[in-house]
Amino acid sequence: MALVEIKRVEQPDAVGGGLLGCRLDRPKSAARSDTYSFELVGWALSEAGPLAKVEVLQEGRLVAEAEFDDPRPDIATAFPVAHAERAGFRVSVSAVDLRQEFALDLVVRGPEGFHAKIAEVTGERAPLPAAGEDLIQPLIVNTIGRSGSTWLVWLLSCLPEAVAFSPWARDARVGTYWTSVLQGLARPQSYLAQLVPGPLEQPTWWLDRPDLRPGVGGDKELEAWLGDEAIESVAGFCQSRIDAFYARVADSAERPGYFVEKYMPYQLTPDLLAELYPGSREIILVRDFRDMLCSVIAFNRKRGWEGFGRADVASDEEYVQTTVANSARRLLRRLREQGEAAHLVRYEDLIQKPEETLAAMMAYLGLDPSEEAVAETLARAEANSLESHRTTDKASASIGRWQRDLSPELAQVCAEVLDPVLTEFGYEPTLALASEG
Amino acid sequence: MAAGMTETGLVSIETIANNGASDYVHGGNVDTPREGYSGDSYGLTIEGWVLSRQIPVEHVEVLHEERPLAVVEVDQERPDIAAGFPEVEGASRSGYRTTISTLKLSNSFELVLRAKLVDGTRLPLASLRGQRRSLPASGGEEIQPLMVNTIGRSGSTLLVTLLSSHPDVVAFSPFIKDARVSTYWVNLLQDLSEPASLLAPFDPPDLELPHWWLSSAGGELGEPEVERWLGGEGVESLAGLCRGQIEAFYRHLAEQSRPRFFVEKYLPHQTVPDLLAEMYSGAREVILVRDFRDTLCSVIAFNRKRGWDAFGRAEGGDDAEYVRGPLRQSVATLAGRLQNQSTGALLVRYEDLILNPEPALAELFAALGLAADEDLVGETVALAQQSTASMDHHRTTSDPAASIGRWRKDLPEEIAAVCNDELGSLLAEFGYEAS
Repeated sequence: MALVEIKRVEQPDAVGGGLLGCRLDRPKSAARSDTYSFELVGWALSEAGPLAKVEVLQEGRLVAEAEFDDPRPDIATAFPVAHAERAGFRVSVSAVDLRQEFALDLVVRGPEGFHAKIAEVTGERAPLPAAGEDLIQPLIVNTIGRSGSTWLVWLLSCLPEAVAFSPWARDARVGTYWTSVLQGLARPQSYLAQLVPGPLEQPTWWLDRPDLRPGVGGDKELEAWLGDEAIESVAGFCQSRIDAFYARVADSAERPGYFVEKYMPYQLTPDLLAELYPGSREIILVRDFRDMLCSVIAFNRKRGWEGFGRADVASDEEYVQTTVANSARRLLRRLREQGEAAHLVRYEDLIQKPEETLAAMMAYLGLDPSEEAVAETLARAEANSLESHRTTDKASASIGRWQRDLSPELAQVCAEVLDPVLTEFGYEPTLALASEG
Repeated sequence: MAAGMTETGLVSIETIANNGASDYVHGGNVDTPREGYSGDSYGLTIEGWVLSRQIPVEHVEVLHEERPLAVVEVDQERPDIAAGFPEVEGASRSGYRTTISTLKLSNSFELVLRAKLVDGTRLPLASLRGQRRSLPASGGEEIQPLMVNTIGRSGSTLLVTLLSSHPDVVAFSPFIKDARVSTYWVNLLQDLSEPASLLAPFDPPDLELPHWWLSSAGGELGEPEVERWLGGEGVESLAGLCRGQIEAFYRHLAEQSRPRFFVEKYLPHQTVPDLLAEMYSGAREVILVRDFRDTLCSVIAFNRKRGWDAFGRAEGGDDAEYVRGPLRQSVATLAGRLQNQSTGALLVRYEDLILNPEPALAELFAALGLAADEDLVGETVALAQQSTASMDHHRTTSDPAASIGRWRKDLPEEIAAVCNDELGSLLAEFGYEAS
């Protein structure tokens, strides 16, 4: 059975915009791969001179890249320019870095910021095999920073059926760690190094060898095994490490049903965990993005350095237009894609209607949502939480803070880029509230 | 259990020698660990301070068997040192701290701490002697490692091919590729066992950085019991899983047959053979040597043939430096392993394999506990000869037998003299005549 199938390859009919020509030669539409990886092979030639690299982007994020180092005498014959000799590229893409239904953009980059999209590739990969129904299952909290996720993780960890590692002290990412290890080892640039090792003195020679391409091992059958069964075996390896850790942390006679961790909207980890664990559950936690923005600004000011992606942009306005808007849209898309498989929790409900919100979460998790069970869990959470997080009055007071904390200019930017998403999540749009005010 | 180890300690430190003040430094000390330290984790934290007089310290290096293991910034706050040296600039941040995985060390180890000053001077600060408990061994039911420990250009491809032509031994295309499956998994084990990686899930540097999971600030977790579990039992489980991946590879390669050994090459500086010997109760090591002067000729000729320097040659400057440095170090390591009875290593000389393959191989098979009857040895040699028929790309002489003693005509006189000075006694240990 094919593990990857290319559905469609789209390339521009006419070139321009600084390119003399470009072509993605492989894969073709309907191409299949029996491993969790495939190669993108083609060429591109710019008018200005040699191109630097080709990037493969998924949802705007880099998943693979390569230099132009593939000799293309055919292109050199057709285009008599000096840099045409090495106009070719070959990029190995690990499908474990991709969503099951994936859409990739191929972008070439050159000097002085030159870039051009040369192809779009869509396809589908087989899910990683689900295994280990008896393992502690992931309870995924998919959210944006400063949305109340620490309180939610803590609250969930107070369920007798769930475990988390020191939610108040640490932001444990054990699931993300091991899925990242899996993704690293699932790349041909890593697993082929077993057959064709690099200089062993180089640190992490076993992890990142961009020169390793399919066929380099000289044994197709063995390479296919390494790119298929062996990866699935590594996935089991990673699952067993996650399970061992949380079984150790739980330290109780009865194994918990879930381990709770946070994930960020751009991460692929929740997808991979959902494939690997048949009983995984996902909670999408949102908070009014305007309040979240206020909280990020205040928190960054308080600790004296910019976190939550704010350092990547020049201004709060740009932060809203890029980081906040992208994350909010990703969460909305995730909610739509997952349908009933995911459960939406609004921070405001968690604070203002904790019993009702917790009961709904417990029902979603297949746990007893009785009044007593809910009350016991909330009591446990309240009794053992940090003083600074215990004051629900303070938390309640922060709801809607944006109306007094945000400058009119920033509120206007929120209105322009966030109102459609806010409405979808059940929040009042900025403009409506402004006109009321 | 290694000598001197307690029942619970995975790592112990027996002696620490601090060099203290000198013309270059006001002082320095290793504060952690202390002599007599016994830890329940394969990780080892080293903390100390160093305060230079004139030339600032660029960083502190941690070395094992003369190879750098860690480079550590001197940036930790030390108010106690500042109080002791109130007039000295930089005293308040004269501390250093690092954590290392002792899986990168031999069972009995010596760590050397050395300061690199900004003018390039390297100043020994301290040495720590200690021991690490062996990783738990499997029951011996897996395909066991047959480790050919050797210096490049010593005929290891031929030996691996010969060994893998035995029905009880498997290797991946030894004449075409130079597979390092076990080194891959053991290096992965060593890197994931670094405290910086073990603790990365709890203090992730930046999830968007490539390979973020191999590094973290390396602070403490705040839950000593969980930290001990991660650094002890967690590491041992990881070792078991790595062993499982090696087994899966060779079982797949062997198809229906059930070989006793997989054979791969290792380099003298690697700690991988030590770890494999710990992880596999039936691991065996073969030390392959070739007259090191011929090896040198072959390295020079092979590098010239393909146009770039390898086999450690690039590190050593000119040929004389290569002999005095990397080559001598490698030969001394092999001699040490051969003398160390705990390795149970077997010696094979390339010259015997070329000149008298059948008896050399029969002796080796027998020592490994493999069938070694005349017919089987003859068939093995014939099979290997078929496999090696197309190895011209690998050769630097047309006739392997003719390459024996090539150094007499190929080596410049002055380099032969350096070989004699540097390798003379070692050559004799391996049964070669010094010139």
